[in-house]
Order: sequence, then C-alpha cells, then structure tokens
Amino acid sequence: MPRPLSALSFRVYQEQEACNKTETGKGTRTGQQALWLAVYLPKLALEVVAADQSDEVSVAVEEIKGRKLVHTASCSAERMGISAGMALSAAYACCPGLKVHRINEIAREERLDALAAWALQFSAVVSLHPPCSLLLEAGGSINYFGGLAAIRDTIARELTERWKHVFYQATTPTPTASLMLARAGCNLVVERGADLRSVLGPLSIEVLPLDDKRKQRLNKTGVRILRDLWRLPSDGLARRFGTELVTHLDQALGKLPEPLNAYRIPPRFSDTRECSFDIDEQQALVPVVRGLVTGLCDFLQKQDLYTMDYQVHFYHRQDPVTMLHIGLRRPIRQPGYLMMLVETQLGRAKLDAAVVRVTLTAERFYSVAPRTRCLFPGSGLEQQDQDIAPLLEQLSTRLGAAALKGIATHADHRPEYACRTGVPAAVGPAPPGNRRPLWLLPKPRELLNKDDGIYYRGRIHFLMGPERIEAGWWDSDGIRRDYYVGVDDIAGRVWIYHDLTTRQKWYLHGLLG
Amino acid sequence: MNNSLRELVRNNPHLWSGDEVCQGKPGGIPTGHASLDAILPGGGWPKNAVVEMITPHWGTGELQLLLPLMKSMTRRRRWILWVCPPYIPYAPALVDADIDINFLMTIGPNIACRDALWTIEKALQSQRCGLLMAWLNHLPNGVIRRLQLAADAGKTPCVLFRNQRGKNSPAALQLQVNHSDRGIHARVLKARGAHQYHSADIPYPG
Repeated sequence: MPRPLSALSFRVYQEQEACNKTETGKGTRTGQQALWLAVYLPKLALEVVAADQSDEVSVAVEEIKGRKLVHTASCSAERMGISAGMALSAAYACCPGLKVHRINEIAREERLDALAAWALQFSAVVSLHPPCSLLLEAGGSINYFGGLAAIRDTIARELTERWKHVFYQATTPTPTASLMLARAGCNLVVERGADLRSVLGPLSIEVLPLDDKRKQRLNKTGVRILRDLWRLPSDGLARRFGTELVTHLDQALGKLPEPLNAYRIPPRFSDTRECSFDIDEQQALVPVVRGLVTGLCDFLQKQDLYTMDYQVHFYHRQDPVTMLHIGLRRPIRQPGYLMMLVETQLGRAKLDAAVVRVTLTAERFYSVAPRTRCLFPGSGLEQQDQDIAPLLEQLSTRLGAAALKGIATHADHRPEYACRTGVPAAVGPAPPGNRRPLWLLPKPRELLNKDDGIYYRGRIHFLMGPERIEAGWWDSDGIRRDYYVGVDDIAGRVWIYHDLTTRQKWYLHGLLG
Repeated sequence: MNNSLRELVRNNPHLWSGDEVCQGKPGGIPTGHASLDAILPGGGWPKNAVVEMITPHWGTGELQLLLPLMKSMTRRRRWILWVCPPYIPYAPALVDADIDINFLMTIGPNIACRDALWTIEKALQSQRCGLLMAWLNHLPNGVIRRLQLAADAGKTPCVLFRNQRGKNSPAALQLQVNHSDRGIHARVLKARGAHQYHSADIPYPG
C-alpha cells in the first residue's frame, strides 16, 4: 500500500532525518504550531488476545454470518501469505500449525483506553480513534520534551518495550493527514502544512473512509491514489462520491477545521478516614461516614456530576473488609439524601469487629440528572412523582430493588399474561368487559371435584359463565379453559376454570376480593 | 336533654353526647358504600389512623370495600403501597375499577417481617403515600400502636389485613369482614369514638 518513501522528493523527513532536523532547528521553532501525532496499531486486535505473538504464526479470527474470517494476522503469518479477510480454512491451508485466537472487542477497547491514559503524559490533548488509532497533539509539548524527536523516541520505546505493540506513527499539522499516513504505514514527520498535498499524494485511496462500493467506483474511474483525486474538480467529486469525501480531503489538507473528541480520564472518587480509636459501635461510625459523604458531595458539586452508586468499606484489624454497596434509583448528589441511605444500610450491616479505617469510593458518574418531565406541566403529576422517589429509594436500599414492583396490564387474552409486574408501571390496553378477579393466584390451585359439586373452602355455586379462553400455541403455553365466577359459602366470590385440555380438572385462579 | 345538661356538655371538653358520635360527625374519609359509612363513626374511614380488617381468609370481600378509596386516591395522584400482598393484584380488574395503576407499588411478598414493618413505618412517616395496605398476621399490640403513631404523624391512613382478631388492639377501627348471602358482611368490632357497634351488608358491585 505505501509507496516507497525514497521516491518522494519533497521536504519530508524519514524518522532518522527528522530527529536531526528538529534538534538542529530547535531555536527557530516556536512550539506554538499544532502538530498531530497519530499512532496506529495494526496488530492491536491480535496483541490483546495473544500475549506474545511476535515470533509465532497466529491470527485473530472474527465470525461473520457463521463464517470464520481472519481479522488480524501476525507478521510471521503475513509472511506465509495469510492476510486479513481470508477464510480461516484458507489460512490453515497456508500454514497448518496456525495458532488461532478469538477476537475480543472489549479487551481491545480497554487497551485503547489504557493507551490513551498513558499518552496523556505526552500531551494534554489525546483523542481516541477506534478501532486501533490514537491521536495526540505534540506541538505544545515540544519545548518541554526538548524536541519532537524526543517525544517520538519515547513513544516508540515505550510502545515496543512496555506495551509490546507493533505500531506506526506519523506527525503532521492536521489530524486527518496524520491518521491517514499512520494507517498507510508511514513513519514520518511533516512540519509544514503546505507539504501535505505532496506527501499524501502517493497514498492509496484505501486510506479514505469510503465503503467498498465507492472505492470500486473510484478505481474504475482510474483513481488509485490521492494525487489522482487532487486533480479532480471538487464540486464534481462531491456530486459523485458525497460531500463527506471532499470534506475529509479538505480536513486532511488543513483547509477545514476538524473537531475531535478529547479523551479524559474517567473521574473517580475515593477518600479514607482513619479512626483515631477502634470503633465497634455502629452509631459512632455515623460521624465518620458523614464526613466522607460530605466529601463525595463536594466532589460531585465541583465536577457537576451525579452518582448512582457508591461503596463504603470498613476495615478491621484482623477480619476481612466489610463492604456496603449503596445503589440508587436515579442519579443524585444531595448530601442529606446520600447520608440517609448510608445510615439505613449501616443500621442493618453486621460489623463483626471494631473498625479502624473507613473508605468511600464512587466510580460511576452521570453528568446530568435525568429528569422526567410531565407532558402537561402544572397538572400536579410531576410534583407527586418526585415526592415518592425518596421513599422508594430508601425502601429499595434496604429491601433490594427487586422487592419493589409496579403493576401493569398487558395485551394478552390469557389471564396469566394480562398482568405484569415490574418497575415501569405502564397502562396497557383496556381489559375486556368480563369480570376479572382482584387477586390472581400465582399458580392455579386444583379444586376438589365431588359428585355433588366443586369444593374450595365450601361448595361453589356458579354465578356467571362460562367464558371460554383458549389458544396460545405461539409461545408453547396454550390453554383451553372455561372460566366461571362462582361463590363459595365460606371464601366468597371466586374465579374458577374448567381445564378442557388433557385433564378435565377444575382450578381456582382468582379471588374477586 | 335539659338545659343544665347541655350546659355541662358544652363547657366540659371531657364530656360528649353519645348519640352525636354514633350518628357520625363528619371527619372520616367516605368509603363509597353508603351502608358502610352509616356504621362507621365519622361517617367513613378514620383519617390518619390504622384500620384493622379481619377476614377468615384473604379475598372474602375486604379489598372490594377499599376500591372507592383507592380510586379517589389515585385520582388525586397519591400513591398506594401494597405491602406483602398474598396474591398478585390483578391489573385488569383494578383498571376496570377505574384505579390508576400507575400509582400502585407492591412491596414483597418475600421480605422478612421485620423489613415489612420497617417499610410500613417509614412509608407512613414519609407522608408520601395516600394509602398503605399491608397483609401481615403476626402483629403484637405494641407494633400496632407504633404504626398508629406513625400513621398519625405522617397523616396517612393505613389498613392492616389480618386473619385473626387481636385482643385490645390499639387500632382506631377493627372491622370484621365476612362473606354472606347478601354480599359482604362488615361488622365493627371496635371503633374509636363509638359506644355501640353495628354491622352492615354491602352488596357486591356488578
């Protein structure tokens, strides 16, 4: 893909030259010009799943529509003719002793996050470009590190020795151009924006963010490298291949600004209080915890964040740590509220030994407190809904969120399915006009069927019915029942049915209450 | 009543006339059943107090008596908490009774008795719900007294459903509910502010 760099006759430095050049020209550099350093990790997908694959023939495979395809091949595998996109069977044909690893997207994202955090030591502005690129603004750091070459050397050394990644790094005045060059496998530095056009010229159109169809169309029109594109009028290009392409090219040349998402280390709160003496009374812990919660609230206030769960750890001298996990139903940051929940939990917690140290940690934060707004403001609904929330919060802290359930109707003719329990209480369609019981038994109860009638607590007389309810083959829970409203001498009104399927038995299914 | 007696009753706050109470000074929450209102002192459910409903089995009509109250509470967008319901409160029937089920929340039934009592007390004290109903059988008088205080402090009515009558219960109203041929038979076992207790038959709706 990349053209041999020796063919370039422009003011482009290869890595070694660049080192010399920046050092000699250090005095003249202002250090103000933005320079974007892109790091491209072509083997990242394989490197995160295979610990050491430098000298072994290994591939990372992904499964697309049941077919196993090679996603990334190690360098030695590539030398044996295995390439990305190849079927796994074809890869085995190239090399029978191939080591196969399954691709792990999560591990890859985590590694990229870790690399971004690591890259923050070189620059204040780091941007992630998944799946396997990083971008950092190196221009502002040149004076501090004593030259661009020093930065590049440090990055190269750490990536090789510490992270053990195969990588390419390119530095240009625009983010897009840096990424393009790095992805094309060029380790080079371009300092002047005017040179970009010439440097990018020999790159293949493969580096462009286009789908395969449009790449083929470009190929058919004889456009193979970016230089071919420079020669085409941009309005025609936009009409035939979309404005995104033209925008992308302009951004690469620095004609258009390119907004980037800066990477930030996720906020984390952790605070510890050492107790001045061993505390074994739970009430005596309250002031200690109160101090920690106040600290958390100050932190949330300053960062303008809200939390939804936090942990309090109680350390003992010998015994293992006691942990309280406090989960909330909605993001909040009111100190009194957070304190009330800890106290609720603390009152129930069993502390086996005296406490010597207390730690509070919170890791998951929300930037805005989601607020459900009322469709008709002023109708009073909003206020009442808000009112009940603290109570439900307190209850679910002690009882567990699963203990609290709203109820809702559901569009199904089968009685068991027409009522649902769960947190979001939504009213479904109106129920049918027939009588329904206020209580439904979780499991129908078989009734005594004697010659002279059906018995529950007493004998049942029929009042209404039958109402035939049947079918449900679509979820293999088919029913065929005749429902009756009856009256039991002792238990009052009941809702019973005659099972018409296999066993002709009578069941109690509800109480009219 | 002669003049001197009337004078005495008016001037002494510790004296009141018995027939006045029995006829019902307004002050209760209307139950929605005229015959039931007639036998309750105050002409309805006592406000901010614990009501004990005693039924031999769950579902013999006790919930039917509360439907009008539930309806008016959810109309006013007040929440109703069901603590440890014995069966599934069946949404279609509740919707049929014109109750806004968006304001219902069930708690339990698989929670410890201690937790259930704690829940009831907190919910009553919070003043956030319009009505609290609980199905608990083992309630010592001390606990009921505590709930009575919480209901009073939180200005929230609380209905406790029990299978057996406790002696000398501190609840403001004890109502025995049975099934009878004529509908639901309600008998007042104890009512604060009444000196004689009556019973009534409430026909099933529909």
